[in-house]
Amino acid sequence: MFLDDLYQKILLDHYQHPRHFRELTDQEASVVVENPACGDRLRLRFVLEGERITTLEAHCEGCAICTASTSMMAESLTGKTRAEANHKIQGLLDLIETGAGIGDEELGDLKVFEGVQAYPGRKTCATLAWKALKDWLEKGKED
Amino acid sequence: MSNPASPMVDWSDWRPTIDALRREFPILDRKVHGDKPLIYLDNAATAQKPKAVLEVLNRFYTESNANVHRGIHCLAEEATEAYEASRKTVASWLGAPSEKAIVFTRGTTEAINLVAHGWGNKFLKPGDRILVTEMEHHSNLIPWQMLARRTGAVLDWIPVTGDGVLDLSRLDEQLASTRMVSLTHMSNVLGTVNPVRDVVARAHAHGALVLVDAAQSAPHSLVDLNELDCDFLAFSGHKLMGPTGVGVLYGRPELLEAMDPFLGGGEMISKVTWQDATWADIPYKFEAGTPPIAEVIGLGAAVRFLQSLDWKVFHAYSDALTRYAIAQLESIDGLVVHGKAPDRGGAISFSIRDLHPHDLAHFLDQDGLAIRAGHMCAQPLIHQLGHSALTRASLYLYNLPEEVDALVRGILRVKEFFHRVLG
Repeated sequence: MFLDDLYQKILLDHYQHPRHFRELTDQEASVVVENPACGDRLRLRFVLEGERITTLEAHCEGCAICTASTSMMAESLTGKTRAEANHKIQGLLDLIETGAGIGDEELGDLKVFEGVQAYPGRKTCATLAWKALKDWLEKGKED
Repeated sequence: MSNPASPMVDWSDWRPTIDALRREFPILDRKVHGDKPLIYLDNAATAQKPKAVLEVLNRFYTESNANVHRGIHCLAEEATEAYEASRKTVASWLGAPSEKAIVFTRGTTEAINLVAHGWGNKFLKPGDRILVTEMEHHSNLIPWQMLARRTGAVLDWIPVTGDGVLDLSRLDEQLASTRMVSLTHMSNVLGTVNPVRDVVARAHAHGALVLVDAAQSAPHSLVDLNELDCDFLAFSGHKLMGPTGVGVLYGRPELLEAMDPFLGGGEMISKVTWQDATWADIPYKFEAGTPPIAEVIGLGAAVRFLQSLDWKVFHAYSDALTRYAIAQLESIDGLVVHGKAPDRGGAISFSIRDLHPHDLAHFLDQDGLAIRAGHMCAQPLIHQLGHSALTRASLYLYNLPEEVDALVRGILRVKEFFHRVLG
C-alpha cells in the first residue's frame, strides 16, 4: 500500500529524529505559520549571512508529513545560498503540485513527497515550511 | 452502564428500523478507494441526504423552477407555494408562534451574523456584555467578537470544566450587564448537550436575550421552542439531511420587527425611491435577494423526513450507539475521549498518544472511514484541551455498531503500524 510506503520512509527517519529541531518561542522565530486545516503551529528560525542560509531551525508538533518535510528542508537547505534554496523550494513545490520538478538527482530524498500529490488534503502539511521559507526569502529581498 | 469497557448491547430490536432507514440513503452504498465500503462518521460536519430530499430537489428543478414572490405565472406560483410551505413546516416543527418568526438564511453562520448586525448594531452600547461559552464553534464566536469591536461591547465566556460541561457557578454574576447570551445547544467537539432552558430562565431574569446555536441539536430533533423558551435560534439545513446553502433563523416576532435589516436588496423592501426605502414585513425584511429556493424546499423535505421518524426509537438507539462507541474507543490504549457530559450527543472527539489526527485520518480514509481531523472550527477550546488538533467521529441515525467496530479496528491497525515502524 502506497501510504504505508510513504510513511515507512519518512517515519523511520525524519519524524522520529527530526533534524535542526529545538524548542523555539514565537519571539525567537523568524516566522510562525499555522496549518489552517488542523491548527498546527510551526515555528521556524532562519539566519541569512550575506547570500547564505547559515541557520535553519524549526519547532512543531505537527503530523508526520509536516514534521518530516520540515526536517528534510532544514537538512537540505542549511548552508545553501538564497538562489540554491529558491531553486530547491520551487522544485519541491512543483513536485507536490504537478509531479514535475527539477529531476530525481537534485531532489534526492525529497522525491518521497511526490506521493503527496495524490492526497490534496495533505499538500499543506508537506509544503507549509517550504512556503514559509520562500515567503521569508522574498521579503528579505526587499529589505 | 455497569461495565463501560465492554458494553453488551442487543442491537437486534433496532436493526430492522436502522436497515430500513439506511435504504433511504443511496450514498451509503458507495465504495471508496476501489472496493472499500464507505463508513461515514463525519456527520457533525454534514449529514447524508435521503431520497426524499434528493427527489424533491430534482422535481423542483425539473418541473417547477421559477423565482419566488414576483412572477404572475404558473411556475412562479408553484415555486412560491413550495417555498412558503417549507416555512410552515419549519415553524410547526420548532413550535414557533408564527411563520413570520422563521427567516431563511444561507446557514447557521449567516443566521448568527444577521442577529449580530440587525440586533447588535442597533441596540448594543459600549460596555454592554455579550456572553458566549468556551465551547462555541467559530460561527458563534467570531460574529460576536466583530460586534464587540464595532460597538465597544464586552465579550465574556461561560467556562467549560475538564469534563466538558458548562461551569454555571458564576453565571448570575456574569449576567449582570449582559444583553445577549449566545450558546450552543450541543457542542460539535465535546458532544455536550447544554442546559439551555436553565440558562434562558436565568438570562431572562437579568433582562438578557438568548440565542441558541442548534446546528448540532436540530438534526437530533431536540429543538422545541416552547421547551427552550429562547429568543433566537439558528440551525443549518445540511446537518439535518437537507441541502447545503440554507439555514434557519427563528426570532421572536417582536424582536425581528424591531431589528434593522442585515442585507439590502430586492425582496426585502416595501417602497423604494432614489434616496430611501422602507422595509418589507418580517420575515421578508431579512431575505434580501433571490433566496436559495430549491434548498429551502429541500430543507422542508428534510424536516418532514425527520418528522416521520419515531424519535423514541431513534433517541434510544443514538444514545446506545454513542455510549457503545465511547466505550469501544476508550478501550484503546493511549486514547482519550474529550467530553464526559452525562447528557451528550454523538460527536466524539479524541486524541491518541503519539499519533497525530491528520496522520490517523489519512490512514483511516484508505479503509473507507470518513472522520474529521483538525480543530473542528473551535480553536480556543481545542487549545484549552491541550491540543492543536483532535480526531472526531460523529454518529448519526444511520450508523451501525459494526461501523464503530471498523473504526476501532482501523485505529488499532494504524497504531500497530506506527509502533512497528517507530519501534
